[in-house]
Amino acid sequence: MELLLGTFPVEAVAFGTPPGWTGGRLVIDPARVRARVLEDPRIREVAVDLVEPGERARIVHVRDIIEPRVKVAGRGHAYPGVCGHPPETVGDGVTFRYGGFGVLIASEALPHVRRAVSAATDSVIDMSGPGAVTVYSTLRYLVLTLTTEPRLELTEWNDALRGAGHRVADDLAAPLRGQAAPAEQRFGLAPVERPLPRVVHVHTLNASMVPGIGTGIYGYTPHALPILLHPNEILDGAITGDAVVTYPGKCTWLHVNNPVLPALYARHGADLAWVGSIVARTRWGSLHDKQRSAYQTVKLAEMLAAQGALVTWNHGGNDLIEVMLTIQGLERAGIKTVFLTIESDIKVVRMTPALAETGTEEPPLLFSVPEADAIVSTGTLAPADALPRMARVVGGHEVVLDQERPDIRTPAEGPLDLEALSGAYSPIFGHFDNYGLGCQSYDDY
Amino acid sequence: MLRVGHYLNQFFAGIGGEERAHVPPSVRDGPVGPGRLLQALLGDLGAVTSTLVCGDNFFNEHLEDAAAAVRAWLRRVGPDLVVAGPAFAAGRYGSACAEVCRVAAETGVPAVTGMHPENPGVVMFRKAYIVPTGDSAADMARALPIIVALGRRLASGATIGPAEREGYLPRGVRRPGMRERPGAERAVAMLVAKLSGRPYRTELPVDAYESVPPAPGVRDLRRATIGVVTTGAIVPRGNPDHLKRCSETRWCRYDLGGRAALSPEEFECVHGGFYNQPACANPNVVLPLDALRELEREGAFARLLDFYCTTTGNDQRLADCKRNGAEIAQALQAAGAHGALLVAT
Amino acid sequence: MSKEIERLGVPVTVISALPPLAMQAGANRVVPGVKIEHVCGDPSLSPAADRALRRRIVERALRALAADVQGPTLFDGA
Repeated sequence: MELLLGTFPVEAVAFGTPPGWTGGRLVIDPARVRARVLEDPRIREVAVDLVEPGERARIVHVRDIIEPRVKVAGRGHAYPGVCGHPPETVGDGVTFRYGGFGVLIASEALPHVRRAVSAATDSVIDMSGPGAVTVYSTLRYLVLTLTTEPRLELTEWNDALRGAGHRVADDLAAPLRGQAAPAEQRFGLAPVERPLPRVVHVHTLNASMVPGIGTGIYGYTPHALPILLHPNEILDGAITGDAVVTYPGKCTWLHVNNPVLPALYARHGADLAWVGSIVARTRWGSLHDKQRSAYQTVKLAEMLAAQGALVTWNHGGNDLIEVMLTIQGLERAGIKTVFLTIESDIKVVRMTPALAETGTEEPPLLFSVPEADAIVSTGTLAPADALPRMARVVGGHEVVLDQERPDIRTPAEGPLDLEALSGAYSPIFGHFDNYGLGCQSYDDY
Repeated sequence: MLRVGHYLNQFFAGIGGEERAHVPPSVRDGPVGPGRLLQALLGDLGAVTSTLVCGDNFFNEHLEDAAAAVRAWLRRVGPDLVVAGPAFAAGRYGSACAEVCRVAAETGVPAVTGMHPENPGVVMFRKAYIVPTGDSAADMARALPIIVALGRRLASGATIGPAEREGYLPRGVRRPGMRERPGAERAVAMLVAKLSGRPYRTELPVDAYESVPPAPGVRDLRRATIGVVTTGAIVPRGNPDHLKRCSETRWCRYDLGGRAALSPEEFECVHGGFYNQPACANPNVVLPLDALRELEREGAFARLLDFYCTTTGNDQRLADCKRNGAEIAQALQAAGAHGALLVAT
Repeated sequence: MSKEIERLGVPVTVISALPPLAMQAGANRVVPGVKIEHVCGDPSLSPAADRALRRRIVERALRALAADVQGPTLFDGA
């Protein structure tokens, strides 16, 4: 498999006609966008907005972000298997993408969705100020604020929102077909010229406990035994998020921009031989299921003759058990592991120095195994300060910061005292840097 | 001028070996034994004004008396800094040094010590500033200057940097900090280093949880009162106290009213960390009241407490977990429970 | 949480679908549960079988309460 990825950087976005990209400037026809969204009768209303980094703006009710990509040559469709795209295997040929730009789906969780899925929280992205701490504060957005039929069942709601996002993303990416990409990169796992340590990427991926939603592989969302992917499949959007939950590791934009992929590619052929990406689902319901998944992951790694493994995860809580069992199994099989992980902000209430000195007797990870002796920590990005009042709010007017009290609604422009109003998790979208985009970490004191 | 108080065991003070390990605390003016090297390292900037000496066995077997002696010494001498040991691999000495640091911290006096990373003293007082050393006094000449340098910084009130940079063992405190390269690159680099046998340093050392000595088993189960607790957020229908699905800080207590089982009409599960439909359809799968009542009727135990305690064990802060646990413990004990079942989620 | 109860001298049996987690956290008496969603039972069984399973789990938990242990111990009927 060889993929030529062409990037069209987006340095400015404006509404206008005709739509298209020239020299870094993306012009979007808002009427065309609205029409595409409203093709689905489940969507009652749509507002379209442009938001850029540095603005005193806050985007609320973030459901997912999609980077528009188009398959220019070769098999399949970008983001295969979802929203009507064929499930053909991807990762070959030529794909074009916009750099630094995303289609953002904003929609307030319907009351029955909030009750059914506690993880369907109200997330915010601040484009400037103390809350602008994530990669999402650095992208340019076309925000689609969607109002759906109020009584949509959960999976219908998810499909309607995602479908709108992908229809618009497809529409924006399509014109790139005829153009020459200013920047191109070639990705492939060419056979290495000399013996180099064989490294497998173990990309564990949360599966939803609630049937019918969650992150999917070619659109397949349920828990399943581990599967081997070529990294190019991930680059072509084989892993996508849903429009329901807001935990950072689910975001569709993040999966195609996973920095672990270019980091491994950069060393392939130089000091390692990358043999592939095993995607193992996490958050199985029983220890037995977790063990089975871990054992099969180890076996796949052994069949690939892996000597080393870079293990990542994209969620929190008891997902860590099968991740750690996998690390333990790999090490016991003689495969050296490195674990790239966030640190939960549960153990640290707030980043202020006084409160950061918790120094509890309990370890920073919920669960661990003695074999996990090589860990890279991306800490957390939750800010210490309250979020200030913002001049502009896109995506909604009020936010609910306690899922148990949806009747308590806070004006979205703020200020927002996150600690007082939320819980252990920050409502800032992307406050965990699952794959190590940034340099933030934790130090021992 | 930095006034330093030095703590030594009987061996390093030159009193004797194991046979003198029982000697009680005594105070000498000025430096003793390795304290002289310490003094030399301080140079013009400080002086070892007093040395507290104690036998390792005395210290470990009479902890309260030893701690009192340390306190009295600190009061009398008023040092700006305490240096304990270093203890290298000597376990009792390391424990004593850790305790000296703890008493000093209590009194507000900066303290520093040194010992081998596997010395049991390392876990005695985690907040102590411990410089890692080799396993014997052969390492004294290398380790003592590092101890002195850290000690001087502590005494000056300077902000102390991360353990890795300043050369002390992690104290169980983690704070955010920036590294030079993004996490993804660091992960690949660490893997390449590990595969090639080159040294690497984990960014997250994983230590053991605190253990609690087990309470003795219930002596006569048939006469015992049993309490039941769950972190599965089983609440009366309608969740009258608004127990949160996630990140809950409190716990709740609900009466069982002599019920033989929990019915889905009266109770529900509001835990947000798992698919709670089965628990809502039959709350007994999380709070096994029906089975408990059956066994109570048959005399397997004497009495089930007629209330249960619950919270939401989903992303609960450790501080809240502990506090809730302590309060629930008191409630159970006050109600006469001889044992408890905790259904965890 | 179980450690706090144990600290007061009251023995606790933790029934958990994830025994390694409970034991690593320091729970001294641990009985395996069925699944996170239904620790003390199995709704896929008939009501009678589910109740019988629940009873067995609770009986095992009570036996663990009566036992003396040295540290984290799994009572899995093996």
